[in-house]
Amino acid sequence: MNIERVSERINEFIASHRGTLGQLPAIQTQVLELAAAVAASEHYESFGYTVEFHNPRRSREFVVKCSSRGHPWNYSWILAKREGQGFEIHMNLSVRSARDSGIYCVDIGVTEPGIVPRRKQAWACLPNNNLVTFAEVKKLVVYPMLLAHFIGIVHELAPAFLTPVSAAFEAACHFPPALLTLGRCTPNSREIVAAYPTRGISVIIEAGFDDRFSDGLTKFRFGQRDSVDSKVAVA
Amino acid sequence: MSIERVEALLGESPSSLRDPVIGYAESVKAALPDIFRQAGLASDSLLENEVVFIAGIRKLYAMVSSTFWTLQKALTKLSEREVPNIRIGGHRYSFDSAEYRRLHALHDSLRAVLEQENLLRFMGRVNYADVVRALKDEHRESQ
Repeated sequence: MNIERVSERINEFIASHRGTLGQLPAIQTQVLELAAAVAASEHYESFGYTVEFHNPRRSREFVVKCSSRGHPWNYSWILAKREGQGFEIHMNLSVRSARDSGIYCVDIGVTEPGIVPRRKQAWACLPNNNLVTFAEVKKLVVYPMLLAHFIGIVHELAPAFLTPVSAAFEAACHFPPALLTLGRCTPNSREIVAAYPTRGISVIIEAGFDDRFSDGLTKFRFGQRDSVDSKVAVA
Repeated sequence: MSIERVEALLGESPSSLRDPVIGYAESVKAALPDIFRQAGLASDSLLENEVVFIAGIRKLYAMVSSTFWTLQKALTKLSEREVPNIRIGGHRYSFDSAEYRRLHALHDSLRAVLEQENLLRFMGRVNYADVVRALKDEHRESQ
């Protein structure tokens, strides 16, 4: 390998695309939020649900909610239906804590139908008992403190998943609370995640989520294979 | 030398792009003893420099590639549902949008450079021990 020549060519590439490269980290974050919503819809589709995309003002534009700011009726959402049962998938959804009056914003919230308002009204958050499951997206390597942070979120929002899930939950083919990351898992983190089932904790850790989402010729399904990468985080 | 070379490549880029690339290259540099042990090879400063340099490029390519392909897939899925446009903050994407075309051009341009320099084989999920072995074989052949 001729490092000098490669450096020169990469420099030329960077100079030619400086503007877009400068925006790339921000675009990557936004695209991940979108990907998480689409991945959730694919998950339900893969289990025989029909999926409908609902856009504000019935437009043909899918509007992604990228932060806790803004009202849900101004953003797109997804309806998954099967055998008369329906669930909604919302982005950056405010949810009441299971423990107290705290309100948390989850990147992806799967809810009972008809609870999140579709028109302007006074609304603070989703009542906790209407939250079915959720997912969090992080542009990080999976490391122990991130896992502890995520389990803390589960503890506050969905403590039922700190014990084995119900048969009804499994029968509906929901995904348990999921942590979706760009980076791989550190070796120590893999050990922690491997111990979760023995502790009765029901979560999915999707390391390298973007690779798996964009790779697939088949529909994405949470936890379809060993979602914790078997290779070390670095090598 | 290798980290400095990666730093030089991204010197004028925003920190949000520069930091993850350099951070990743540094993490690979720290893992070099393990990588060479896995490869079954003695440490070699020339090889080490090449591996760290490749790591920096690999991270850059991963950011470009995964962003492009993730958007590509999302646009495809939504288009199948007759929803051709996506709005994310101040950005609008469709297969016809300037934003999508710029991202596509970015991906294709970097991929072409890597292909022409025979580096595409080291991108993706290739184990670094395999990278070291391949580079070592090339050094032997060129001697």
